[in-house]
Amino acid sequence: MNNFKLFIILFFSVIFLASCGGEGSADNFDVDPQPLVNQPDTTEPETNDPDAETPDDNDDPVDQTEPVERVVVEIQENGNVVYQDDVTFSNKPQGDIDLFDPAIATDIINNRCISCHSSGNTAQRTPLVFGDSNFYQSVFDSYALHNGVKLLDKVSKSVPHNGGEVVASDTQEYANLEQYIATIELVQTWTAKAIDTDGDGVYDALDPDDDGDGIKDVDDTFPKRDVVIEPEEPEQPIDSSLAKLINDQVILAKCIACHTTSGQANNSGLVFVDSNQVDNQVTNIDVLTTYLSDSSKAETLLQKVQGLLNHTGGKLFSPGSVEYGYLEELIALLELDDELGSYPQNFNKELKSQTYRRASVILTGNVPTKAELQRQNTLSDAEFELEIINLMQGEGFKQFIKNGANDQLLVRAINVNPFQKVHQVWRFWYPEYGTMHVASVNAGNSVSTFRNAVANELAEAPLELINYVVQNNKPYSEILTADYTMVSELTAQIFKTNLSPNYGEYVRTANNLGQQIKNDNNKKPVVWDKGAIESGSLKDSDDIYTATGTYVSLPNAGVLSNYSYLNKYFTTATNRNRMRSRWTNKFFLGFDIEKSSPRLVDGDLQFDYPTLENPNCIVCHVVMDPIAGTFQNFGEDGIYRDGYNGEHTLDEGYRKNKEGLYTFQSGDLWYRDMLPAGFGDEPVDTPDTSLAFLAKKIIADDRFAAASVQFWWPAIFGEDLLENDLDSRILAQQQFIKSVAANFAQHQNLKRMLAQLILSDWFRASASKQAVEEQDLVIYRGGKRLLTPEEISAKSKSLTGFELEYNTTYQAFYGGIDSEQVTKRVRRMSSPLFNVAKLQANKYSCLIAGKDFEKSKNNRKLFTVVNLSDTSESLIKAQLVTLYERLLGETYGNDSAEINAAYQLFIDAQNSVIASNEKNILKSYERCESFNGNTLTNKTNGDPEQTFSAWKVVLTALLSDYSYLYE
Amino acid sequence: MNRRNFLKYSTAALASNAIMSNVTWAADPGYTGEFLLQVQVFAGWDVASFCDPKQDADINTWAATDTIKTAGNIKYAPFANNGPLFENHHDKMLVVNGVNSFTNSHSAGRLYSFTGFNGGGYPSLSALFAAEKGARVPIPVIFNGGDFFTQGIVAASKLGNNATPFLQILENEKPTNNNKPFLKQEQYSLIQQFNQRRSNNQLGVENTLPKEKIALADYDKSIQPSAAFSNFKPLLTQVEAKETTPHANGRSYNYENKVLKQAKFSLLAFASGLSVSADIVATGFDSHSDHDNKQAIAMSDLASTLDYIWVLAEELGIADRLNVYVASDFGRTPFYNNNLGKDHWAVGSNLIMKKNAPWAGKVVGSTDANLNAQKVNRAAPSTSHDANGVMLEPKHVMQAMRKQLGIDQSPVATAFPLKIDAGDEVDIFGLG
Repeated sequence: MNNFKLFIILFFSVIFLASCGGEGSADNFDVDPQPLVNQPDTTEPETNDPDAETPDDNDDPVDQTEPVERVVVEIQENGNVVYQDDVTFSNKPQGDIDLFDPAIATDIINNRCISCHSSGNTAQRTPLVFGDSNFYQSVFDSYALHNGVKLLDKVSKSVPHNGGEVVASDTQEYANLEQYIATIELVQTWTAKAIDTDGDGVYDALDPDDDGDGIKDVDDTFPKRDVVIEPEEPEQPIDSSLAKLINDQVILAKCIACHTTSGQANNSGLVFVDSNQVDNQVTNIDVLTTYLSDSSKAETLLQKVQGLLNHTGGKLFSPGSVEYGYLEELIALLELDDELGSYPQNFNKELKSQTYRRASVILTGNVPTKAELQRQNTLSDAEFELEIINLMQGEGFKQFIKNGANDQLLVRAINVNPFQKVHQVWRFWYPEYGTMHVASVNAGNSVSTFRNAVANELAEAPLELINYVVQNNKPYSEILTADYTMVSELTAQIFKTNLSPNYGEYVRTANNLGQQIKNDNNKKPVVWDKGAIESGSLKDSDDIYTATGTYVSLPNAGVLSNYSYLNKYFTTATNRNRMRSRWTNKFFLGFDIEKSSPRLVDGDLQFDYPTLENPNCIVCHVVMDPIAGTFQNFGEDGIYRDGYNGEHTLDEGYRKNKEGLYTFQSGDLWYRDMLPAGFGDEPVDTPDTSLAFLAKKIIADDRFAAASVQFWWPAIFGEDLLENDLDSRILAQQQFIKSVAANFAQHQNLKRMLAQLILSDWFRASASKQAVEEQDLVIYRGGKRLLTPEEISAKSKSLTGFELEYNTTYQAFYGGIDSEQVTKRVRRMSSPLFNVAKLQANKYSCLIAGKDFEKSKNNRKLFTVVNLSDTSESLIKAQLVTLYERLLGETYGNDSAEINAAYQLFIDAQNSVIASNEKNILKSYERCESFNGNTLTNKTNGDPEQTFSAWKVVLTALLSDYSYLYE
Repeated sequence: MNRRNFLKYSTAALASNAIMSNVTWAADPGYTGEFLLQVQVFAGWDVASFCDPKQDADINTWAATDTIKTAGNIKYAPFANNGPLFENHHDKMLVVNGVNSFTNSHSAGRLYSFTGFNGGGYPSLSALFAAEKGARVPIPVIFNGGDFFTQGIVAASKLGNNATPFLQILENEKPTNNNKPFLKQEQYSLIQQFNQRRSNNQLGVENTLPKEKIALADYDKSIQPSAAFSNFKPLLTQVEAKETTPHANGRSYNYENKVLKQAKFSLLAFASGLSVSADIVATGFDSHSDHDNKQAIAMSDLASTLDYIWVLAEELGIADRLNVYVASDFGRTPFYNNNLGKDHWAVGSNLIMKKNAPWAGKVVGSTDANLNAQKVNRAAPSTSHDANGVMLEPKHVMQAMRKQLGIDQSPVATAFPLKIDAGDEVDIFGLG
């Protein structure tokens, strides 16, 4: 059988089986199943290989449809039928009921498992979901048949189990489970409809004379009732539609350029024929399915068409495009996807303590104590995962969340020019804004103080919202669906919320009631009288703002409806929210429209409405424009319904244009010459809250989970996902993303997703094993990465008490972003970056060491072993060991070569100043810099042995060391 | 850098600034090769008002009152501040018109124009050049934002347009405003030796994973003392001293303009031995409304900066080694919209500049009257339409640039092959 035929059969088998889950399935049977004596020959099923690996928790839920064999209705020569009803034979897993009930059914499942593993509860998307207690055994057996060991590991929490330890491994209950699972085996069952035509109490399936007329069915010339015999399905078309679409729109449209016997890709394993060959569709689909018969090729195909894996033909389609969807559909039909690949374990992993230190620095900015680190190495994997998750709280984690989110969303761009982006907009739409601005100036603040502060609150609001969702363990999808926004000291007043948060504090509110819309005119609703003072420090102090519009209540849709998001991705009369659509697609669906298809401008002028009529345009706009339409309630800058009379946001040029097919009609919210607002071909059903509609659609989309993993990947790993590397590396990474996304789709808890990334090989690999070639390393990374300005700043504060200038004066030089002009972080060390680090170490080692020595030993952060008067070699070495552990995360013995080298540095540094004989803390020959008002006070004879300078040198060296700057 | 010019500047610096006593005059970074300055014209320039002019007032309003100008063999629009640029530097120019980026999205356009591949994952030309040429300099490539891609092949650094913090970074052993150091000079040497010893040990560890190998090598390179650091400030001082008086060439420059400052710092970094490649960003071109005014302002700044680049390069003695590559996301429509703006148009131009280049002083590629790209002959591209030719795309320009810069066969370039069918390369520079 050729693959094309197999494909056709598989295709129909899938449809057929799907249709079998109804009344003929075991769970609907209301007759005690009994074995049939004369079992007819049946066709071997072509799907549902009973030996196939059952997906584990990382995979999609198992299709609970059991293997079935349909009875072919046998037509006798007399036209009657032997068995006229649906009779289904099954292989059903079944264990010893006496061992199951009640010891397992009641004591374990009902009392412990059901609270999570049931519909509507937290484990509802795992493969183990219990329903009616009558079917506990059936569900349990189906899962345990192939997953018995895993089940035992889960309940005893030998592997991560979100429900914790349910049955301890040293208990009788555990032994009961083991014993029962061992009894589970496949038994044959059958099912039939409960039809008793003649009412004799024997169901037709077993009744030799169904209609009770005394003539046995085999001899009965009068069928009891009509029997519908399904005609044999023709081989063509398989859905001709999918085969044709793939052949026409993928193979002949794109692949054929290279993948032919004479093309560049003639050795690729995919060689197609062109449209001149009569049977090209059959041949090409056969070639494709043959290629895909190696299941590992499915992912390769999907990567290649995206231009990845060094596809010589470049990018053809993007995830989310129609053509990509055809290929996904084909792969799904062939059941080739969702297989998590494996890769060589030719690397070693770091200790849990090392992972914990790095995770802590990245997630919280704090360096754990030695005791905390040592404890990690005693934990089980499950306990360790919990420790990682427990790191995710507090102020440090909040900064991680906010910085990581902003690296993607770039909403802090609003801080770059608050005058244009906030002041020049808000004072004309938010009456409270103008009034508060004037009050601020009259209180002695500069004219920029108020607007900068408001801009900052607006910038932080969506980031605070994400933080709020995550820290409170809410479903991550709430970042889009939240029907509230976050406000702080000033925005709470401007939004007229009646809330009074303090400076820097953010609280949630459903009410943004502070904006006005135009009222019976086309002027902005707040009228500004600039007063008499137009320059100098009192400029703006006598300005008068008069509200003339109508207050409105703004609809919320999580991050999407935040002003800083809308303003960053502003719109224009011709852009029409497409930028908002583009970035929303990328952030939350992982679909980069701009990379999805080339724009062919030839012939553009032939179309009056290219985005509706020109196929070259439609390919992208069909995805982009409906989503753009969902932003219809927010105008160019991000103001709600800033158009005429506050009725819409449509620009005047469009509104007044009376020519063409599509012209503005009263009551319109969106352009008629664009695709309707919606999601795909589903139009918005709530036009006034269309962003909330969009949010719901996005979170229901399968792509949301993977997009979320991609969104947070750089925050953990300090790099983007691979785009150009060895095929094996890209594939492994993509498959890992899929597996994480599959889990995340179930639990929607960002902390758990981040923990999964941190516990992965990509984070924890430390070195290759001996004699492994670099190209054989699929896991190419792990271990330390360069810290960002924010991270090194937080780490410095944790270790020294001072955050230093990494994230302020030298932020841009240390690879930071401003979210506007510089939007990508520098992720590699270079000379200027190192010189920033060197400057910080040179400049502040005096203050750091001096302030530490000012305290009692027990209260110090670094110098917990020695005083400045100590000169004993053993004490100094012990102190060096401690400094290495704290600052570098490296552990050495007192007499190790490394500590001896550091000791020599100390001695040499001391010798270099000893001749000066200066024993005060502050020296005449060098400068001790202050930081943020912290100044080292001099102490006469405070350095009697002149060790202070030596400790400064040691500290300077360590603060500029690789292991300090990377984590 | 031209040794004579360098000494001219350095001698003056020594005489005028006592702080210069710490400068290492023996500095010779050892790099004698070419420099690349890549100019991102951010957000889409209107080439019909620059190097692909149309005598049609519906396309550009200046055509209603003025006519197309010609400098040497190059036509240009009598718009903004184009005149001085074209009149003074046409002999260094290769204008490539009719370049179709096949996109109207900003980031996709920039991706294509500056990497030659619209699929992502490729480095900018400036990064690629730096990776090949800049191994020995402290800051292989300078960037200033915009869309700049390294793909991890080289460490990039941002200089920005404010010299003060940069100078403090360069002079990190004492405050720039105080002569008292943070530590004693001897101690700095001890620390340097300590850092180097540790770095050597770490580099010597076997079985390090590929990613960390790169990080360790980056660190090791970064800690190397460079004499080039001390060259920068005296050059800057001298150059900025001249800014207080009108330039001898009679043309005025806005020295506070951001892109001009970026260009200045980049050239100073080249001349001082810090860098070999830079990426600067000219903004203000996204003229969906009020097109003429917005483009005039932005174009004036750009033209003035391009002019200044060559003036300063001459003064610094590096003009002979300088390559300038100017590109944008794409062009703008051959018509105005309802807001007197122009939207995105996939067809644009490139401007490539080099002194005394045999290929300079001409135009290749063309557009028709409606600014549609026309095909060019592959082997001998000109401004003539060749029905059997190929439509120019950024990948063709990028391929030619790689070849012209001498990096097309380098391992780092071949790791990012451009997707051009065999035989479809366009010999833009006539290099054979």
